[in-house]
Amino acid sequence: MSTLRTATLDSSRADKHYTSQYLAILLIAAALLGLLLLAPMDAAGQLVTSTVVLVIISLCSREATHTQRYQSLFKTFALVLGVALTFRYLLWRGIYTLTATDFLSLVAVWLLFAAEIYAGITSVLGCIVNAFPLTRPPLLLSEMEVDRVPTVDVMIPSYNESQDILEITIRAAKLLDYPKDKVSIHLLDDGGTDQKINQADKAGAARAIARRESLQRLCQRLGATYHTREKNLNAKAGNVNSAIENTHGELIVILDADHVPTSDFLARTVPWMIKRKKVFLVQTPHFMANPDPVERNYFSAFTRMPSENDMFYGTIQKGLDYWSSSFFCGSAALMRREHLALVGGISGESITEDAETALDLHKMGYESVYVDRPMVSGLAPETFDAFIQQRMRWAQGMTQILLLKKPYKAEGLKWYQRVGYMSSIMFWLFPFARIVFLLMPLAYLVFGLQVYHASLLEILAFTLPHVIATYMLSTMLFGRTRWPLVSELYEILQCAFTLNALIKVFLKPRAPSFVVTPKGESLDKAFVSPLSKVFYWLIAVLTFATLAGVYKYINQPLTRELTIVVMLWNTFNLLLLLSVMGVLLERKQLRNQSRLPATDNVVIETKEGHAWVGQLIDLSVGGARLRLKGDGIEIPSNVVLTSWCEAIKSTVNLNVQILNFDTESKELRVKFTPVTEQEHADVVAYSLCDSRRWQSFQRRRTRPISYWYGVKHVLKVGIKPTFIHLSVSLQHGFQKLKTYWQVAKEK
Amino acid sequence: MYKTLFLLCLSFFSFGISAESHTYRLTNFYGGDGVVRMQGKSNSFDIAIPLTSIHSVTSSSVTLEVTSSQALIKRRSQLFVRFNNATIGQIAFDPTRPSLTSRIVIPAALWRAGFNRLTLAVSQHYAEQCVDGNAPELWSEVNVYNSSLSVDTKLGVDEVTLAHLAGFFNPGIGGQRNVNVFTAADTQRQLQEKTLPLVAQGLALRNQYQPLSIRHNVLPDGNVLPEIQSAKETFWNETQVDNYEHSAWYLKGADTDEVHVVVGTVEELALILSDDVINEIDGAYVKVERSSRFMANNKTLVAPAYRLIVSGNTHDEVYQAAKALAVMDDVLSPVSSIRVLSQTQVQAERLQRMRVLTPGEQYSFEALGVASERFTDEGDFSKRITFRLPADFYVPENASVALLLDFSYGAGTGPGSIMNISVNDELVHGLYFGDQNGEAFRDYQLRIPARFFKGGINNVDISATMRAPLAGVPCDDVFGSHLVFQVNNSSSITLPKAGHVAVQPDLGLFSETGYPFARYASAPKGSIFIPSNEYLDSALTLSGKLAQVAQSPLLNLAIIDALSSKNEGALIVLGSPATLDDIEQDSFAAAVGNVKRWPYRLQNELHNQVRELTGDESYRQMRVTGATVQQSDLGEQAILLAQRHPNSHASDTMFIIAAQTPEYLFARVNDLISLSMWGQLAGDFFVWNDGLKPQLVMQVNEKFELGEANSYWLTLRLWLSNNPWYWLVSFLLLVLLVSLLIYLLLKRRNQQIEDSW
Repeated sequence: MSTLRTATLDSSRADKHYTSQYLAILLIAAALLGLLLLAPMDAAGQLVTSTVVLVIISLCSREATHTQRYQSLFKTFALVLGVALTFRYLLWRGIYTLTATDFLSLVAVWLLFAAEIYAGITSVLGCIVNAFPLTRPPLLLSEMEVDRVPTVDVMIPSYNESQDILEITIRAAKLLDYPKDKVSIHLLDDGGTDQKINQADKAGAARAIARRESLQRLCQRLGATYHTREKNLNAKAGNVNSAIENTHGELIVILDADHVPTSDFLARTVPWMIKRKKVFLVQTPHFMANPDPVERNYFSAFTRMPSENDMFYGTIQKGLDYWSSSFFCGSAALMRREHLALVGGISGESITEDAETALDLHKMGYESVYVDRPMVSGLAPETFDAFIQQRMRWAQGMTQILLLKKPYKAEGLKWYQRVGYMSSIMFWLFPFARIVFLLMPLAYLVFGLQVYHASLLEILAFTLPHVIATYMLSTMLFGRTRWPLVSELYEILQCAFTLNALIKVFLKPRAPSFVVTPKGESLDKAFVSPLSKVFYWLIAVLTFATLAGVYKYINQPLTRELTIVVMLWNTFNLLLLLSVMGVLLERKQLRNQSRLPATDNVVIETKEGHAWVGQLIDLSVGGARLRLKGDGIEIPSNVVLTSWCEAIKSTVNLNVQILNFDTESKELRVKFTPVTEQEHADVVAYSLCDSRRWQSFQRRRTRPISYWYGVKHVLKVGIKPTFIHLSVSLQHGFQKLKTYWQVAKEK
Repeated sequence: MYKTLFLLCLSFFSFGISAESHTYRLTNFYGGDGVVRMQGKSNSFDIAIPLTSIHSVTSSSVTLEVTSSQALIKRRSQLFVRFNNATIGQIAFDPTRPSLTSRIVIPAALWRAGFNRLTLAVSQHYAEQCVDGNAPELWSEVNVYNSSLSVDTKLGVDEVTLAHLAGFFNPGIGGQRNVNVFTAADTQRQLQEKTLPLVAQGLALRNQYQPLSIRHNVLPDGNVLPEIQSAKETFWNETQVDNYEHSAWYLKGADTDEVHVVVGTVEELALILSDDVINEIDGAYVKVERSSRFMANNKTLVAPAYRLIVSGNTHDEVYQAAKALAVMDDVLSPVSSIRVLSQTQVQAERLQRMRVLTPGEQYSFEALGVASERFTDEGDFSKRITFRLPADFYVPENASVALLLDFSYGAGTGPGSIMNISVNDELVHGLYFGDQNGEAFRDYQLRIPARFFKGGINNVDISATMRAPLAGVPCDDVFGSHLVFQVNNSSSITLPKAGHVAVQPDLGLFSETGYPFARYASAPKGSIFIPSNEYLDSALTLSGKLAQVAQSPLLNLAIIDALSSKNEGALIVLGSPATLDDIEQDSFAAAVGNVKRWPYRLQNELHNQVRELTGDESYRQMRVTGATVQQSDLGEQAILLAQRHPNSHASDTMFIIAAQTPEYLFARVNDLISLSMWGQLAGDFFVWNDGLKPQLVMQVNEKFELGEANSYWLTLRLWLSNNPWYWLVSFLLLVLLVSLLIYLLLKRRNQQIEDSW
């Protein structure tokens, strides 16, 4: 035994020795590389070298996306090449191009350079974080010793969500594949607190009492424990902490009200807690069962393109996991009570209590685990308004963490954990840079400020390769989970609103308060988002800048090269802005639950004993669409759908009502009509509790596309909505005029 | 194109000095097109005609060939001819006689030394009233090529002084275009290396842009008195012998109205100098005198001649005297001789920088010698600011030159009133005069990319067009006499800091600046190699031309007669095919010897035009891949080749100028230094046969950078820019090493994580 320990110790020492040696050589090589990047060269020479480097990055990226032995090496080589090009570009910018003729130009020059430095730093941090995404093996509870299985409290905090949403979540929680004596379900209701019941507003108080009573009845019916508290202190964090005080499970699962777990959630997460006692968090992806407004309004391609979440949960969290810095995302996570107790429960200093709690525990040396399997399906905000509200909260919360917790120098964090946190936080400062990138062409085209002091050849030699390399790296790292230009669209959509929110945080870091994101709204008619005005202004301003650019091109021959470059830049911005018009057209959505693709085999059976075999096309908790096989089908209005339910490992027989049958395509649309508690439970189990379905759906839509296809797609879907906006605005104006005329006439 | 035409025209401008009548084409003085068209109600153009200070005009006339529109009406349409602002003639346009030739006498009293202005102005109308000033039928043309100027001049020097030197050697009418230089036979080798080139340069500099052909002559060992023509006497008496010795007997019939130069120590020149002069020489000595006349029987046997003496007791003193001659302002020496006691700040580096702006500095227009200018009335106006940058002016791609302009325009400008600014004929900025109340600008800033500027001469043109406002009433024109545009010489130009590097070989740069013989950061030794004395005339003429283009004496330029591997610096090799056989030319794309290697265009990707001529800035490589080796003569043509010096340790440029014989070479060198031909120098392979047009201009040798980098940073920049592959390979290797190490560390961490599962 002692020999073995000595051998292990020797091996560990040898490892450390080699690591130190590698690090020393790495530092020297990096310093030499830094000197080389500083070396001056004329633009023509640089153009030649940059072109060669881009070709090599392209080849390495291609190799890095194929599964092969040296995949990671190619990826690392491409990343270092790309990062080096970015450094060279920023050095060149800093040394040679920051000249200005007047104070205003100087301000503009430095603003742009600061935005570029920000973009460069986030890009480099992103490369470090995502260089080696960790792929963990699946661990199952069945492989663990039974007596080591811990007790679990499933907590569902709620504030104003509807009972329907909560019922589905509680039912799904009840279906968790875990020893029944070791799991308890808790509904944490902040909408029925004593404070709410006793509020001065009588109608509000009555609503709170009714909510408390109905939820208590729901919990009683479904076998869950209802919790509420005296006051609504510290929002969600306070709600959870209050419940923690009144529960005793060793592990705690936190699920948002709309987050429906699949049955294997605990079976696949708890083993990581059993294996390592230092693990305080097992986080899983948030799988969104409905498209967010961008996906719905803009692309109408929810099932065909990667969701916004997929980039974070499919790539970034895995990268963070590698660097031991994957963090708590507020829901769909398993936490250890013992560790939470050390930091006084869920932290509440910022409005992103989740990341803050993870940071506090990481600082204490505890570990987090990320299990990359979608086992919780939630609802994305339906309207653009709600979407912006949610993003503003995230941006403000992460900025609060930056200002209040200072993760870049937090004691207890390893350097790579600091990098991980800073990468996650720095991203949310994008509105500053995005606004600068959007408006800076104006400074030159309209106000004549010399913001970019470089010739066309230099732009071709330094700027363009840097931009192309950044795109190449982004495609290599996130190509499957983020399509080209989608990030830009999301940033443009959010920047105007989140910038304001961020400035408020910088001015008063403790001021922001938690606002619950509205979810589960249904849109009964299409309308133009009330947040559109700012984009109209931006489009008007950028169009003016384009016209100013044309004028400048004609009248100032000396600066034509630069004018062309800035106009291209401005046109790119303008096209992106025109493209986001599509998002601001809120499309009608009558269906309460989004139907997701499914391929299960099913049997449709009548009371008379006639049966047809078929296959699901899509499925939701409300109903399904399927295609039947065979000829001469005549189906009565009420039938039974029979299928294998993986979640409960048994066959389910669900009463369904036929909504429509197309005899040509043999497509059948049915609505679930559960009556008994068991039937309700079966519908939830069948439609929402099979993680394999989410995984397959996710895999289906995470696929890379070419850059040009992405650009084409963005341009294609962006043009028509612009005209619709114009038409709606004209109609609106005409209506106003008409009303004004009528009023005047009446007077 | 205009530049070429201008130089071509000026090439015809060769003046004599005698009192005879001379006729010149007006294009000799005018840089524009051969035909000048004047449009609109009124228009005019000026022709500047230079005259030396030592000549006076006895009579002169101008003959004009004019064509006018048939639409012009009589009496109200006229051509006014003014000379130095005095109207000397009025030519009425007659629609029945649209073409006419008219001779106008220029009163001699109107001429003055320096530049004289001939103004041709028109007043044109197609109706008595309601004339549209922009009507297309309002035009007339003056054919300046066919028009001519006839001038009779008279030399007006009574007592010659050194101040008159600037009159003898002058670019104006009457200026000297040839000069004979005399040295003693046995000391020629000692003087030819440094002193003679300097004398040649000093004289050529006085001629400014006009070529000066220099011939070297050896003073005979002794004089032989002419035969006595008189029947009364059989021998020359002592006085006569003495007179003869002090006359210019050695000129052998040369034009005695020209100045010739004698160079040498007092001992060497004792044979021809008078005792008084010999006694005066006590150190470095410069004197100009008129030699005595030698007469016999009332007949002049040796005419008096103007003689410039550059002398001293030792060769060093002669060199000092030559230096003084090269830098002196003649006007400050209204005496016949000077003795140079000492000179300070006459170093090669310093002198070469004198006429060149220093990178990194700011210069007001006033400092550049530009006066404030005020333009009034309607019309087009232009102000040119000319300055020289170091020939090897090298700046990064993004460097810029800042122009801070002080200018203003007055109230009441009409549509079409604008200002354009061009740099080296490239339009860089325009401004519309849109304010009815006029505007005044101070420090109006323009940042112009430094790549618009080049080593050598640069021009910034500020052009304004002033138009009167529209009256808005038919037939009621607003006169433009109130229009004012003013450019102040408080405007300034700020140059970026620059390195000193030039791409070689480049005959264009050589012709414009004298580079690499005239540099900015340093003044390394430059040499002109002559295989024998027969080539000395060509060498001296070339050295004079180099000083002209450098606008400064090149103190480190030497004429050598032996080549060795130790020869450093730029080198011009003069010779014939026979003498050039000794030169190592294996590495050259084109070689001249008894056997010649020609890179014929059909064997190579060559072009008969080069970038400077065509304006092509694509830097397309003109590659040499083949050559034809042949045995042939050069005939009457000459070849100028430039390439990297094959033997020099440090990189430098070697020029070879070859013709079949020394006589042909001298003739071709004289053609080469003419304004038209010198302005057409370009590429690195130049062949010519006369003074009008080159036969072939090509770029055949590989280019290289010739730098005087004064910082490691610039050296590194240049090296890397020329060798980006080295940077790329080092970069890739280092990135590979870094990547490999990162990869190993990442794998190791991954292994540790997996072990923890």
